[in-house]
Amino acid sequence: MKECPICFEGDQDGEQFGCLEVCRHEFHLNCIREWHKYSIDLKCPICRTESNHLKVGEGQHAVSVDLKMGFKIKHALEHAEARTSDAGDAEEEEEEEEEMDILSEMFQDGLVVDAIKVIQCGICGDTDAVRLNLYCQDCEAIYHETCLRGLACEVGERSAWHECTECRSHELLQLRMGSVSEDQVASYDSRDYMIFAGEVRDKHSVQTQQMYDRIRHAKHSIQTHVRRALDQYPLALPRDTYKNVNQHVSRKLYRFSDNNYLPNQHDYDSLARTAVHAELLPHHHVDI
Amino acid sequence: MSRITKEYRLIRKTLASDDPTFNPYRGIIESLNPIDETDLSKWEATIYGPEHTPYEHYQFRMLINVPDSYPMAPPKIMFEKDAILHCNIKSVTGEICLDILKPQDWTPVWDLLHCVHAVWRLLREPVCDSPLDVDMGNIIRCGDTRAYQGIVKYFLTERERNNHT
Repeated sequence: MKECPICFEGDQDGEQFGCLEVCRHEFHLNCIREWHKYSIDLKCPICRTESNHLKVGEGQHAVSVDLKMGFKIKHALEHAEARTSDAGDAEEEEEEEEEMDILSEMFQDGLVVDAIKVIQCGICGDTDAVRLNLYCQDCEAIYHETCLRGLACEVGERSAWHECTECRSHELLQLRMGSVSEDQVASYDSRDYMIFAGEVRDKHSVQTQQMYDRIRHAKHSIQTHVRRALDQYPLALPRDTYKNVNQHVSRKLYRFSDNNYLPNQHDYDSLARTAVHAELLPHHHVDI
Repeated sequence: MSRITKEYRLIRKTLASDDPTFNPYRGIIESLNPIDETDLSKWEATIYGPEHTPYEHYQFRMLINVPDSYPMAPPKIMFEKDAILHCNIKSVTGEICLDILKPQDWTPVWDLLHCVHAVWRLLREPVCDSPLDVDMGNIIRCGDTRAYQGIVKYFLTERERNNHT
């Protein structure tokens, strides 16, 4: 007689068995689902092989249950819970419960979902934070380098892999997990964390603050050079053009010197002048 | 029937048997019982010290707390206070550091017999990477097994002497 390894019962109560897709170990449907409410991953309780699907039923009536989706939602909810309990340790339990209700309502309305970003590959959907190594600077999509390369091979453009599949941007940077510990990494709360300069960072940490300051200073200094170049431009520029070109060139120079202001290494004035002229060429402003 | 009730039957049947094929815990687990038969949330177990270790010839009693959410959540196992010295056990409280009893490594297919057996194995194979008793852990890390065993032996002889007086 078949026995469920979790509750030690057979099928006398009409309990339905399900079998994990990969290792084919069988459990009561209810038992294994209950376990996934407690477990930290989707590994088989017996052999620790990971399965994303559970097969229920036999032959043509078999149904494959997607375990991953529900698990992801659980993860996100837990994260939200952890946030509220962190917020006030001394709070009464009742109050916390109330807060949880509000939170789950928010969750249903999609408010928290927006704030919580799951760290997963935009191509294969895997959430193995350790191997995820590229992210798109423009839309924050995250990828495995291998997935991007594989995809490029499949469409026959082997060398054109360095492109975000979401927004077509070529600004793919190395992703590092920074100060975030590994168990937090599967998802992060965009109210507290962000990806900045290739690193998942705590927004409130001193280090991030210092980096902010440094970057603000660099941006400001570079912009001064660009403004000067624009002011020295022989023709009067419309307000919009001035603003756009300023923004564009500053960003370009900023990336060019790797997010830093290095006046000893680069001649920002001449760089800015060349870039401004190049930028204005298509606008037919140039006839010097 | 709840899982723990079912397990209770199984444990009694297993430990009562003298046949090693039915009872692989002979010479390992001396007893495993609920403290009060009407309350299956509190258990006590006694294990034999493994052979060829300083724990040999001694018995160790532990208390097991089975939470309501068992087997989804692991049972809590503690030794008696001040009854054992081991690098993964906090002697003053009896607290045990064992990976399979942590929620992140626990799986619901294990039962109480497995857990007690795992604690027994921990006595045989101390894990100095995650010591609760840092001093004892350091002695093993230095490679001084003789000192480690000597201290444990001394501790246990003292324990025995205090019990008799």
